Amino acid sequence: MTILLLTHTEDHWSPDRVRDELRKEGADALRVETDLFPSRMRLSAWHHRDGARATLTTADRVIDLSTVTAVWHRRWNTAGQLSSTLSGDVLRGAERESEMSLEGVIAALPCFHFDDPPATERARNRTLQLEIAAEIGLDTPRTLTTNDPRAALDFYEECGGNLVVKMMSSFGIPDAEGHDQVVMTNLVTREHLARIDSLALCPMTFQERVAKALELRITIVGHEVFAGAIDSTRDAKAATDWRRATDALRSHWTPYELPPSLRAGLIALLDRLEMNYGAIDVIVTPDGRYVFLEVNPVGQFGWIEESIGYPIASAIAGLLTGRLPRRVDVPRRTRERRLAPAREAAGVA
Amino acid sequence: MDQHETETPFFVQFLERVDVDPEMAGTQTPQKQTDDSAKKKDD
Repeated sequence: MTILLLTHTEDHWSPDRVRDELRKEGADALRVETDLFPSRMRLSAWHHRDGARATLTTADRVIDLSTVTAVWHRRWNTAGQLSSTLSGDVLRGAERESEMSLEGVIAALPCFHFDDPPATERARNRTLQLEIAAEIGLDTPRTLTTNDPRAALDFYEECGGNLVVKMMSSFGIPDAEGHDQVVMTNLVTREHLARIDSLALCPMTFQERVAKALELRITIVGHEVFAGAIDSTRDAKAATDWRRATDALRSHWTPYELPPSLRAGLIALLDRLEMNYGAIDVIVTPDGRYVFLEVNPVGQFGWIEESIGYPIASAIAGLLTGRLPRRVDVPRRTRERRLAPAREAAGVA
Repeated sequence: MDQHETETPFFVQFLERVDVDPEMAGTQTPQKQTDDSAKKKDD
C-alpha cells in the first residue's frame, strides 16, 4: 500500500515519526513536500471518459497516484517556493493554479483521506465548533466575536471585566528584526479598551475568562483518545496561555483520564465535524467543570507525544493503513476508473 | 484618538514574539509569502 504524507519542507519531525510507523507496518510511506510543487515536482493527471491516471514525480521517484491507498493532509503549502522565481500578479496566478491543480488531483483520489480537506476547512470554524459543542451538551464559555466596539465594551461589563481576547485564525507577522509575532490569548484590561475604536478595523474574539485548575489537550485519532493535562498556574507566564511557557512546562504534562461523558461528547463533536482527528483544548475549573474551548482540526501532536509518551504517531499510522478503525470513512468514489496500462501506452494524454 | 491609532487594528497591541520550538508552541511557519507579510500559523 502507498500512503502519502503531505506536508512542506519546513515541517518538523512529527510526520517523519508517522512515516516510520507506517514503514513498520509495511506501507510504502512517502513524505511529499507540497511547497516543492511546481518548482521541483511534476504532476500529470490524465482524464478519459473510461478512466483516469495521475503521476507525481519527485526528485527521487515517480509515484503512480492510482496506487495510493491513503493520504494524510498534514500541511499544505503548495507553490511555497515559487516566489523565488516569480513575482506580483503572475506569482499569485501561478500559485492559485498550482493549488487548484495539485490539491484538486489529490482530493480526487479514490482513497482514504485523513481528513477530507473540505471537512477540515469546515472544522476550522470556531463559531461552528462552539455551537455544535453546546448542542451536544458540552460546557462552553460565553463568547463574542465582533468588530463593534460598543458590543465589546458591553460584553466586558457583562463578564464583570473578567475577559480574554484571542483571534479566530492563526497567523504571524514579522517584527522589524524578522522575528515572528503572534496573538496568543490575552487578558483584557482597561488600558486595552482605551483603543477599542480600532476594533472596527478587524474583529477579535472575546471570551469570559474561565478559572483554571488544569488545562487539557486531548488528541483524538479515530477512536483513540489521548488526553494530557498541565497545571498552567505553576508558571505565571502561562496563566492566560500556556504556550508562553512551553519549555518550562514541557516536562510537567501528565496523562489524564477523561470522564466517559466528556470523552463521548468530544467524539460526538468530531463526528459532527466529520473529522477523524482533532486536537482539543478543554479547561478543568477549580469546581470540577470541563469547559470546551476549541478544536484544532490539524493541531500539532508531536510535543505531547514526546512529553507524555503517548503513541499518537502510531495511531495515525494505524488509521492510515486501516489497522485501526476509522470513525469517518465515506468512500465518495470507487477505484474502478483506472486506465489499463495498455490504454495509457496508447497515449490517452 | 489620533489618526495613527485609528489605522492600527485592535489586535496589533497584542502581538508578541514567539521564541520557542515551533512544534511545541504549535506555531510553525509555512514559507510561502505573497503580497503581504502575514503568514498562516499552525495550531
